[in-house]
Amino acid sequence: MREILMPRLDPEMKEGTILEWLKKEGSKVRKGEPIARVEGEKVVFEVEAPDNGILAKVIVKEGTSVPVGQSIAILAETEEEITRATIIETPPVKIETFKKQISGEPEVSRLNVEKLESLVGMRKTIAERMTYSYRTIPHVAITMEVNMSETLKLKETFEKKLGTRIPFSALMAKIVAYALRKYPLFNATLDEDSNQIKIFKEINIGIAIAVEDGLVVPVVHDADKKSLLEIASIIKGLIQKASERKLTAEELRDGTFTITNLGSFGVDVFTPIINPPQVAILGIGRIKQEPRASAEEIRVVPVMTLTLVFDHRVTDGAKAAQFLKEIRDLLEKPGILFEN
Amino acid sequence: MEEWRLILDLECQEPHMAMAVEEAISKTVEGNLVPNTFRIWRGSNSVIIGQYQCIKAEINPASCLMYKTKVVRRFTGGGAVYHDCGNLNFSLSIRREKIESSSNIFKKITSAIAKNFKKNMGLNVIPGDRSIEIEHKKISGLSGRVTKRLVFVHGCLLVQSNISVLNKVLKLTGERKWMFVPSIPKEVTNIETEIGRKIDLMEVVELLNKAIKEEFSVTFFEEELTNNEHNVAVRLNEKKYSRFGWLISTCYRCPEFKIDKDFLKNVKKINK
Repeated sequence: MREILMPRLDPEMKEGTILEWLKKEGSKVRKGEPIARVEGEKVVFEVEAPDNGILAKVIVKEGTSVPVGQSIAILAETEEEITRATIIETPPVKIETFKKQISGEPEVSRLNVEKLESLVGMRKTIAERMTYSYRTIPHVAITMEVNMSETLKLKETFEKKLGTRIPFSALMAKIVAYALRKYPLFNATLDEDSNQIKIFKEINIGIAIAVEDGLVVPVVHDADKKSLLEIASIIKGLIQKASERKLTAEELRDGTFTITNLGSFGVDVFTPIINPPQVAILGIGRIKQEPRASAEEIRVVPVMTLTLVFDHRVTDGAKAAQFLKEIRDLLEKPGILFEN
Repeated sequence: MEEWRLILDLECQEPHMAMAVEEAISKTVEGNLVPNTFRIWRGSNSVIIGQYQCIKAEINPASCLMYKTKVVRRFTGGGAVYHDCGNLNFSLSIRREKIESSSNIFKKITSAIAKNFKKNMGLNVIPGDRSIEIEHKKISGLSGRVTKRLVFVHGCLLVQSNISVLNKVLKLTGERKWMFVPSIPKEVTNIETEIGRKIDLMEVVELLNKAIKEEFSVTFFEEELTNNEHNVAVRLNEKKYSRFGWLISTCYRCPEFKIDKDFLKNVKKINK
């Protein structure tokens, strides 16, 4: 089963309107056969089937505009695939859809819109990237609870000894970078043209930072080669620059893995969207005091939930679980990494 | 230098057949049966609507009847235009293997025509992405179809057309009906009006030829339609362009379609 995406039929094309589906759901199609007509700027383009198969599901209806890269249909290899699969339809939602509510178009629901906001600048970029990621990458999420007792003790010890605050994200970056050396498949990208998984040589950890009108992801380059103190210093600088909107292109470039933390906002668990062209992302929830049972007793301990979201084309749940367990084990026994 | 075929179809012809010839040429070029082709042609009074347009939003049927203006649905995108014998139409069928951007082709055509007209007629001609204007008034609009193997672009040039009839037969409201592609209303003018003298159509034909040859670095050899193309065009006209079914082919999907039978009756009368 594969998604058929709105192709970029012309280098300047940003979106296309489905004018007509030339094939019905359930029809057999051949590779290269026109399956739909798309209008872009007074030109009618033909969209072709990317492979032989069956047009399992039409996702975007005639008359609807969607951005390049968004799913428009599902192609199945066989009829058995269609009966096995549950295809979840996610209609494309755009700000323009709300503007069209007065046009009387039958597909648009009648919402009372108080305020229209245009997708511009950073918001637009985030919207485009996240839509592309969500539509093209099969996301799978797994979670693990971590006992943070030892890590918090270690953090306190470091801060006393070094006389400086160590951002929590610095500890996470150091630990994740170490784990990525053992599990390089999560520090990679999928080259769709050549169908190759390319493992990055560098481990550059992106740290998601919330700013006023969106999100930025500055990068700690070569995180596996830097000490905790170095990483802490870098991250403090990046946070400061992010708040002042002074991050440079160099500081935003070449991330190979991203960590994102909503714990300070009180979020326990969440499923972040992979930051393309990466293949995985780690979501960090809040640390909370919870009673937990061990063999002998029940104790209140600080626990935190990690969520690893990965690209299922690149790897499977078992490998992902091993990687996440590695991170958990390092957090529960940080002495392994920081004994010196 | 590459050689392209030039077809000069300058008799003012029946508009449905003229459109059938356009599609026939696009198919033979796409199939590599003939070289890339530049065609210049004229059609009698007609409104030519885009493949995915709503007829009701584009034409005034009573005016079409009064001014004996037929309605033709073409096989390319874009908005409605008016043709009469004072209009020169042109089309370019290019195989796609060497083309990176179909947008580029449109821009090349409008720029080339504007440049030549400016140089040779002294007119302030401004090329747009899909249109050509003089003093903010449109003299030409382009539309096209792109497939895996073909870029097909055609356009019309208002040389000495009857603008008064144009303004009566076309609705020009920019109204968007349901999912259909709306026309963008714009003031239009004739080249003859702007230049302030009578123009011989052949003068414009020569300028068009020169523009395309220079812009694409090609030479032309003049030829007529092949027998095969003629036969294909005849079949397309019989089975498609002159049929009421093709004219209202996109209307079937409109929620209002079943309701407005009177309108459809009037449209049927127009093309008789």
